Amino acid sequence: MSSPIRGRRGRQSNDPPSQGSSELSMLPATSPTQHVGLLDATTDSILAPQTPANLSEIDLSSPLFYGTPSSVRTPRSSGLTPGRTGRGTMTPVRQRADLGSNNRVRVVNLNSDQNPDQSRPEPIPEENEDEIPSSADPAGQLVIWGTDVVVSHCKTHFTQFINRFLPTEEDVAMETDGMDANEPMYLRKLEEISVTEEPFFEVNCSHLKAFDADLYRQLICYPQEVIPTFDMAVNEMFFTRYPDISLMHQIQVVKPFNAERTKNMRNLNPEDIDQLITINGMVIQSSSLIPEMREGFFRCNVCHHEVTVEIERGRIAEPSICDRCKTTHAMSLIHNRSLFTDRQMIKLQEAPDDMPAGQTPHSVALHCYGHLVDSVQPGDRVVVTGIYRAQPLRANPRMSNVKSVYRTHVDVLNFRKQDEKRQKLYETADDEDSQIQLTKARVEMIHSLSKKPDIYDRLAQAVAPSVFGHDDIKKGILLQLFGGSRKQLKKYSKTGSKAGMRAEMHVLLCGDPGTSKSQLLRYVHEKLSPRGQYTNGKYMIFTMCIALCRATSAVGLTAYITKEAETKQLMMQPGALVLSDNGICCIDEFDKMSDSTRSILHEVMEQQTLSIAKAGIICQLNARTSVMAAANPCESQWNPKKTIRTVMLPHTLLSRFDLIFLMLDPQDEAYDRRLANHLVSLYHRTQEEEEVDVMDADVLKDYIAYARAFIKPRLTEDAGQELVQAYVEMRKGGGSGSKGGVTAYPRQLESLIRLSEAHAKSRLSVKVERLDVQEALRLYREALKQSATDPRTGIVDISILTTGMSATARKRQEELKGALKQLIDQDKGRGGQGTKTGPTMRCRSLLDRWRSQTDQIITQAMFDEAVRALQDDEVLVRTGDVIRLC
Amino acid sequence: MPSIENWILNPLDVINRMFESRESDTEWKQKVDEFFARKLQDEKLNSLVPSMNNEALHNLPPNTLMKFRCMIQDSYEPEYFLDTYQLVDKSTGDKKTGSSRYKDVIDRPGYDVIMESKDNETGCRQVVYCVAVPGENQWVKQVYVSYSSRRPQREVVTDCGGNQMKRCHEEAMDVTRETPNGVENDQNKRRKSNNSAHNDYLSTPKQPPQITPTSYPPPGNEQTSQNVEKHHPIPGEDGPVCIVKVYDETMELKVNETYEFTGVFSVDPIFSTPFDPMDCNGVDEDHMMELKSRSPPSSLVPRLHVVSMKPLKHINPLLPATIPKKISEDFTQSARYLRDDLIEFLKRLTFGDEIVAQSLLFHLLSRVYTRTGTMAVGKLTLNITGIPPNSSYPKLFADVIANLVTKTHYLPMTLDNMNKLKFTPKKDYQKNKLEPGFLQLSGGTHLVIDETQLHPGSLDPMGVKNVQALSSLMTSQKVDYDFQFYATPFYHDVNCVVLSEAKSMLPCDLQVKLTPDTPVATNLEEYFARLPPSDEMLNKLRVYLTLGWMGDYDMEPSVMKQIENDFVASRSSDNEKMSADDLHRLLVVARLQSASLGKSKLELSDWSVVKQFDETRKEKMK
Repeated sequence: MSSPIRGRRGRQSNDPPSQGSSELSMLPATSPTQHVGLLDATTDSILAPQTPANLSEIDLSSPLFYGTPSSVRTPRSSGLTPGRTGRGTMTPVRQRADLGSNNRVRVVNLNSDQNPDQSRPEPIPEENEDEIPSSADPAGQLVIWGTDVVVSHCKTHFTQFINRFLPTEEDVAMETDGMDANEPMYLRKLEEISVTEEPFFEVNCSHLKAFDADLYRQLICYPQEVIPTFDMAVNEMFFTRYPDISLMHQIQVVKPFNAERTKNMRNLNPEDIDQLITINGMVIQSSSLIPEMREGFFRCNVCHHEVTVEIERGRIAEPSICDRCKTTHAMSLIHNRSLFTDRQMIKLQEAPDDMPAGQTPHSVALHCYGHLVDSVQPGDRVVVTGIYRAQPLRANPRMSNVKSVYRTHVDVLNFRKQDEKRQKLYETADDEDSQIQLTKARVEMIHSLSKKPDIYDRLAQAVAPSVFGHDDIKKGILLQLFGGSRKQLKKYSKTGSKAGMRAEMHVLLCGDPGTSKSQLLRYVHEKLSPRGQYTNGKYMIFTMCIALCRATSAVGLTAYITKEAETKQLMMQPGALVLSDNGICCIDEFDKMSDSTRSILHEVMEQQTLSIAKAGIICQLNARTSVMAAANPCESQWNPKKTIRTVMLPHTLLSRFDLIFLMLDPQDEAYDRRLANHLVSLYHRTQEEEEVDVMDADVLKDYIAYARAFIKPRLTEDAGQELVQAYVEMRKGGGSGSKGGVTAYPRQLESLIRLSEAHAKSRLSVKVERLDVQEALRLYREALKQSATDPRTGIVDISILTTGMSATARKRQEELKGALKQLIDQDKGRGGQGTKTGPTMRCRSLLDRWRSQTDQIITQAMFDEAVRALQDDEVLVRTGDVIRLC
Repeated sequence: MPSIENWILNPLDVINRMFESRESDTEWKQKVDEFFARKLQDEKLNSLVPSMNNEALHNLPPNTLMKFRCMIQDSYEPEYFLDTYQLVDKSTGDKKTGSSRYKDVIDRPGYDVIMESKDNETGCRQVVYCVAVPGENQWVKQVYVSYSSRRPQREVVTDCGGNQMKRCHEEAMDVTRETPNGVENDQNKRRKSNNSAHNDYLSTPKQPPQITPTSYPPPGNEQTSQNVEKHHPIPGEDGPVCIVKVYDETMELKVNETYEFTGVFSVDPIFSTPFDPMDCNGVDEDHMMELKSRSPPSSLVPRLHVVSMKPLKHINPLLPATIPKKISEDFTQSARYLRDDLIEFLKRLTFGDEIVAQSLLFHLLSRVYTRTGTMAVGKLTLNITGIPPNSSYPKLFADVIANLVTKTHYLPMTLDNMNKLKFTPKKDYQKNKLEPGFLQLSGGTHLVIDETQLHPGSLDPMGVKNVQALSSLMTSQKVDYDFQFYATPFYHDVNCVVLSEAKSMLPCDLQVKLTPDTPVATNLEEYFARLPPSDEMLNKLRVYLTLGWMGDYDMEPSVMKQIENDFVASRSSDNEKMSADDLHRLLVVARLQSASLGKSKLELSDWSVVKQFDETRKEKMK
């Protein structure tokens, strides 16, 4: 059907004389029963006059009288059956602004004309009015002009729909407050209205389609005509069922949503004009509220005759002549008696996900009215259902040329916020995480994926497929992306933010330059962070930090260019960047950060908060961020003898990372060959075949988002046991050699718990089971093996991470200290150069003597270390080369 | 059959005639498309169509057929218009139908349009905002101008729709007049651009360029408001801009792509009153801003109603838009000789440093030919170190490059530029317009970044963002356009070469140190003025570079195997291990080596040459 702008609207302007008082009109109005005189009595409310509405079935049975203009112009309204007033509702009829002001309905009676074809040149106008029957018999032939909508059929069908439609399984599943599958869901909604007294009735168009495809088609094609009919049907049913309820205004019935014509904004075309469409997008701009006059109130200055004039095609025609006294130009507008509606113009832009690559987003203007005004804010993602309109740019009368262009907009009938819907579905989801929206098919796919036995490996493979190997590291990153479960400790929960244990995991990658660390970071940053997430100022925390953070803001981001004198190399000193709450912060060149900037991360990483002192106020903000960092060894080459200390990072910070991976080039020919094959194939044009097996990044992203939002795994008894055992073992294992040696700390136990939870999430399991713990342990050990193997003993030693020194090194230091002490004691025993302040001795001679006494090689460094240790024990004081004993 | 003059000078007549004799609604549209497609296919006829790029806007007659070589800067929402409409004669009341396809306004004196007639049909056209290709070099423009000056009609432009008979007569005479005229015009242009402080690119063999190392137009106030309005990505550039309306709804018009549009050129004063006040009832201020920016006065931004379009893979005027087989075959033959010539020339540029010259050649030929993951495969960003600070060399260097390839831009990386220039495009929601950023460049543009201009100092927020944008462009050929609520990545293919004193702070794929073999001339300007080869040679090199750049590429399995073996072998030996990054680089360079020889398949010999090259390069870096 390609009649873009249907002529109906226009023709009115061509035959203005026909618009007499008897015209059948759909003009929005106040109450149909409202007499001019009554208006005086209700001056307290102008916008919604509280006039008894005396709604009658007769009245409502005709769309022509639904929301009719004030009774002055509607002769029939005075002929209401008084008996019907028994309902006594105080519900005023309020116009629907959203259907536009220019909707006049013409009815064609098929009895008088057998050819309801739309090609009829002129409508059969008003004469039919009196024939409109109050019951549904001959009215079956009454057709709204220009459509194939038979008013009474339409109404009956819709009533049937309400009475009979049973919710689908899906709906039952979606609704949280136990919906009965055998109860007609829309009747239930009516009941809800009677309780909540919110006069809006939402209709899911897909339900309508399933119930009555023809009615649905009519709704889509002629929303302007069909919706009022629906309105009537609902009102009628409602007031029959609940006669005693009075609402703010009559049920503004149908707020349809989910029309099948759900469209990408890009696909809108002239064929959609004047049809019901559903589009989604992001609100980018909303105008201030515009009061729009719907009805002008004029009073004759001479005889005080009062007249109301409806808005018509955006204008109110001032009556030039008084009907009663026939004085010309005596009518003047009384502002506070006129009726206004709120109008707001909103700009909706294509959601970033719908945008084809390489194109700029389209946008469309929305006009919304009444209660919809201010219901959405810029940044919201919404699904809009409304009527697509096109208005010609009006010809300027002074110019002979006419611009042949239309302006388009959507008259909004309904907004649905995307996340609102989801929140309702899953109460468990954290509100901040609720930015995701997945289709049902997608969720099903995710669930079916999770059933696969090798899902964990598959997911891990999908992380940065272009980076070869490093499977365990990818698994670590994957678990980081899933995160643990947030735990609230009950007894602290009242005191605020320090209540829980963090759920976020931190991962550090270190290794030789050129081992794809940056590639991994970049992949996570670019491909796996949610696209187009609206960075709300509320969640943004500025901190002195590093490069490559997601979501940057222009505030306070500065940096310095410095020049190294020696190499003349220019460097950019990292400035401030942004950490976003609930995000992943990717930090490259972690080691290059200055200490002061790094120190901020201490708090962020453990407490997940950030304190900012500004203008005398210290505030603590949530910064629930996972940190993923990459660092280079300080000698630009990994020194296996120095282990993790090769990376010049304070161990206090190191211990905050759950997983520290060492990325080294493995020395393995088979690995090299596979790597070479992988890389070469990247440069080979026909490389698609091999990648089919790898999961798409988008799927991975959705999977993670889904798991993060909805899966909150809890430890089972079994898993707890396993964890305890593992922890005990770790503590035992590390400390076996030396007395009092520190091994594993509670922090490591927390890490293990988080890892197990994350692994459970990867299976979409709400229970953390033994196998999760086992994998967590394995991965943890794997990471340790790489980073915390004591070079001297070959034993994995957690204390390297926690104190920066391995247990054997500590033991060794003890020994040295003991030996030196002994030596000094010997000296003291001999008397030395005893004075009152205690004996002094020269370092050099002491060292020489020590060297002569033992067959161990004592370096200057070892000596210094031992002296320092003794100094700590307050055995001696060293000043320069002189040691004074205490 | 309409005569030549008619379809160029009065395309609307032709269109109208087809509309009048239409059989169905869709049929005549097709006929129009076919008609123009047929005409424009003919090289000769095509060259008769005047180009918007060559003429000043006020010289162009409205409602004639016009060509425009441009880059899409922004795409607007599709526009709904009255495709067909009913007219009623004011005096007689007769009704007839008309069409506003290929028109902005309905101009039917004596008739009233029945806006509401049900026979009216709404059409939909795509609207894009186009700018002259940013960074297009002077020689490209000149060659295009010289083409059109061969065109007989060039005198006619002011004589819109004149007497046909007289026109033919003039044409004959024009042939004698045209050459001096064209040249004069060129010189005029050149003089003009030389005078303008904005122009950096002028480096024809005859005229040495002005040396202004930081001649970057100062951003901010000094930028003319007109320029801002015109939305050129590169500040200071002043080419024609145009709102292009495309009737083919199936075409996917992408931002930053280059096209040649041919269509009905439309300037109408109606646009200077962009909206009539009656329409604005209830329209708030924000909306007014948008309306204003969406319909700028046509004296600044004309409209073009497209009848025919072709995407441009390259804008080298010395080559046809689609390369015929023969040319590419010839190229394969002659490539190795031209390669030697080019290396010789580049060696003079690098004062005899062969490695740098080779690297430069590779760099000039590189392009992104595929993307995997976050990697842009095929790009080769080059870092030439060892440039003394405060030298005019980088600028002169950029000029030489500009004389070789079609699109370049020279960016002095001063603190000021970094802090004040806008690098990334940003969406202005008030105006509903994508404000261009400096990095909004079409594929195949060469960016010469002069890091020697950068001095220690502080970067403000804008500067930090700019550096980030630049490094993201260099690592993954991607720029995040700022849509305020979110950023959207746009993929680019911009070749970057960084000239710096020591290792650049920007991430580069290939780093070479310039070590002159021959003594560096004391007067660089003089040296460079004598540098360019003959025009003929220059043109050969230009063709060579474009063809080499466009070349396809593939690898034989056997060669792949060999490379893999090489890699494994090198890693098992202890010293000088090849890392994964090394392999990446070598694979890119290998492709470029084979491309530089006009081959589309990698041969083993190239591989060893490349390995040798990289080793020498590494040796030099020590």
